[in-house]
Amino acid sequence: MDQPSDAVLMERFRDGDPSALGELLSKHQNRLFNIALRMVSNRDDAAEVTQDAIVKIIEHLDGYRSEAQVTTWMTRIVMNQAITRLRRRKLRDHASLDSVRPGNGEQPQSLGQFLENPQEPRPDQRVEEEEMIERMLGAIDRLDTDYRSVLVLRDLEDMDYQTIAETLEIKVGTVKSRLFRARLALRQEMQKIAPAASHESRN
Amino acid sequence: MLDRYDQDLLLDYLEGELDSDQRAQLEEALKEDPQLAALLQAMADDRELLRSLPREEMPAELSHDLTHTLERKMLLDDSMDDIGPIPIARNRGLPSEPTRGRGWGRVVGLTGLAASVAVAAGVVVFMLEDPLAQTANRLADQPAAEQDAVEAAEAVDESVATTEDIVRNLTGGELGVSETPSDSTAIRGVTDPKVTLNVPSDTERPAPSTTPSAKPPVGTESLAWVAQPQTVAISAIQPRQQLVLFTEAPEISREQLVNHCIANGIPIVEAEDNNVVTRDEAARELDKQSDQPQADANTIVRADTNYALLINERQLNSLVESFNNDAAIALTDNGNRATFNSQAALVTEYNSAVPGDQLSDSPAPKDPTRPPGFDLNDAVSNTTPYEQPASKSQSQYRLSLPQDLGSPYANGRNADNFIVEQRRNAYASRSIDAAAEADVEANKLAENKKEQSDTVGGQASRGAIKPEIDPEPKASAGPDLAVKQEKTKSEPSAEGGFGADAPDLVEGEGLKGAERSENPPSEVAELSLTDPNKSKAKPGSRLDPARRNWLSPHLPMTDATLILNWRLDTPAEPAELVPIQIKQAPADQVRSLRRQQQLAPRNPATTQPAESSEAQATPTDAAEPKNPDEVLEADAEANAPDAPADDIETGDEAR
Repeated sequence: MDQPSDAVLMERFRDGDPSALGELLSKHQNRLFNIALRMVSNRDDAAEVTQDAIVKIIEHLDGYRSEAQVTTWMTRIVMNQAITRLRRRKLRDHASLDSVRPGNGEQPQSLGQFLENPQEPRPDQRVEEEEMIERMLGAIDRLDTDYRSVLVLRDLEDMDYQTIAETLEIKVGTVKSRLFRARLALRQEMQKIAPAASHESRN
Repeated sequence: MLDRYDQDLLLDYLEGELDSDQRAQLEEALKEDPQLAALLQAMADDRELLRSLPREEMPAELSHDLTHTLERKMLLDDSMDDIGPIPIARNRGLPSEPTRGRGWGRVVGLTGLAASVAVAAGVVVFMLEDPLAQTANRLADQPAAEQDAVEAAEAVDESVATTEDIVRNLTGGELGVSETPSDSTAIRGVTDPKVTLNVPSDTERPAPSTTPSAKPPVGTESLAWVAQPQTVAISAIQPRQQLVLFTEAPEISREQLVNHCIANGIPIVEAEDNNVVTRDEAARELDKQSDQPQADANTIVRADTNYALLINERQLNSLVESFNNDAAIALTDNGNRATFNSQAALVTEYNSAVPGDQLSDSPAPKDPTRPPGFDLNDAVSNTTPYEQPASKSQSQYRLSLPQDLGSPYANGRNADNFIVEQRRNAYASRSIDAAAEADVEANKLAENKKEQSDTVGGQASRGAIKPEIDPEPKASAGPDLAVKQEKTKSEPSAEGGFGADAPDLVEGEGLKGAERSENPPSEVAELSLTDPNKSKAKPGSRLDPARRNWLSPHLPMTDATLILNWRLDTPAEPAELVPIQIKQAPADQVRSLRRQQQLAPRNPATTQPAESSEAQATPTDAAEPKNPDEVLEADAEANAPDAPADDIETGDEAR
């Protein structure tokens, strides 16, 4: 039996069926958690972000109007919570991590800048899939929040540009330019991590 | 001609959104720039890798944490908009099991509560006086909606229907919390018409649900009955059902209470305007009636009862069992007499203590293999019905303290060292913002005077406090150091004492901190004078000062501490108590007895259980302290004619 759509669940909830809310949350809980997880790169933080987001969702459910899809609306909430969490963390970690983490200015702002300073990984730096995933997660963790947001929505949620724009409340053009720069930044971080990872593995 | 450095073009290429012609053109162009081609290939690989990242399941404990958060929000009674970060217990050692949708029932249920709430606290179990007979008598003059409700309830099962059944029947299978009270009906079983439950009209009732009657799994059933406009006529309460009113409680206690009720299908209904009043109000009212202040323990009351649990005795039994020995529960009747367990007594006595009272050791538990605490049987039969010794003044009255309740007095702590007055003062100085602010002002003045005095009097010899304006900073170096040392000495005590250990719900520590207090309260009280800021509520504290005052650190704040709630009103002619029966009789026995009870006049000789006098204590007149055994016997005799129709023990005898 097919799951009822979000719209149907919302309609049921508005009609006084509280179980619809439970169904809605159950349906989206893992998706929201994974968005939060990819955004904050930490299960505990992701759990907190998801929790806060769900509280917000529950609280504002009555006020939800169907200008945006439920999925988009819920995603926006969890993204906002995650971004807030990242900002807080950034403030908290400012002193200790600035010296070891790449700052905002270190990530490439243009394709030309990147091409001028290529850091191609050596062939012997190929790693196993798990290591690649670790590298990827580490690289995502080093990205700016803006870049991380579009990457998560695009690659994790498979959203189109328009939906990403609605979720993040930015223009579609901004989404595209930010997405490209995010991919560039991700590549750069992947290359930075690779030598360190190989070095650690050798040790 | 394509611009191979056009980022939009490259992005579309990476995203696979170029048509075949554009793609071919770009790939052709990339042959001239292998570096760019390699970069794009790597970016494409990154993209694929990112998309292939494993999806993880949400931690199972998240719903619990969320429940906790929602309850905390309710307790603090503030807007959900400004919810702050609620720290999730890290490394709790729980496996990160996927939730698979579990737990949202509670969350949703709490949502319903949160939507309408001002929250819970304390528990009072009102024993309803033979509600069956009352119901029958009331049917004639009840509004139609109420009659329907009653009839519907009785139709469920004429004798042994649980409250859950009743309410499910009333609401078409879906129960919940009323968010918008539409009508109120007195809880007549409790006699006082001020105690009300919301009873919406027929038109407001939810449509009958198609939910199957089979009890859904725990955690999902609450979806069906919480947060739904709910309604039950109090008059539909069957014999053997109690009404548990709870107002505000320590969050974790209430969480457990609510969760337990949800898990066990105990309806939570919204009560309105019951006559539970604040202690001060009670004191004022009593003082009006007498030349002498009489605001003593007999008048301890609490305010803001907002919700009620409508439970039958099986559910009550389950409820109290679930809280094992950690709950302070009072069983009251509509005559404003109460029987409560030792912890409830402790709370009451503490609240009634006056300066000079001291806490005493408690008697040893009767059963050494079993810790003292709450058991419904014990609560009814073994604990002392409320009786304020008339022969003793309050200053002589020694509080009875359980030794092994996880309280600050347990684990070797000598309760006699604990002076109620100091504790009370310390607590009050912290918990009542107005008082704290007044203290701050007064202390500032006092300190200024002292500083001036010290500055003039003997600055050099005693290291006096630095004056506000020091014309010669170097000369005052000694006094400065002295002040710092003094503060250094004081502040750790304050942090480790009452100030730090006092309940701080905002910080999510609940009330457990009170248990950890190691510093005598006298220090705290003193510190509140020397360091008035310590006596102020923490910034951001949103707990109502009055409520905070009520959250007594005196309690053994275990996870399931429920705090006594007490009704004030004293009817002119106290009604007879209905003893509680714990045992669950076979349904057929009860059903047959119920029929007999309805069809035939009662026979006192058969309705009074032979053992009930021992199994259930009934409160006595507070003005005449009696030996507990005498009280039990007297109450047994007094209750005999009016024993409940469905008394289980009676049923056994009748058979």
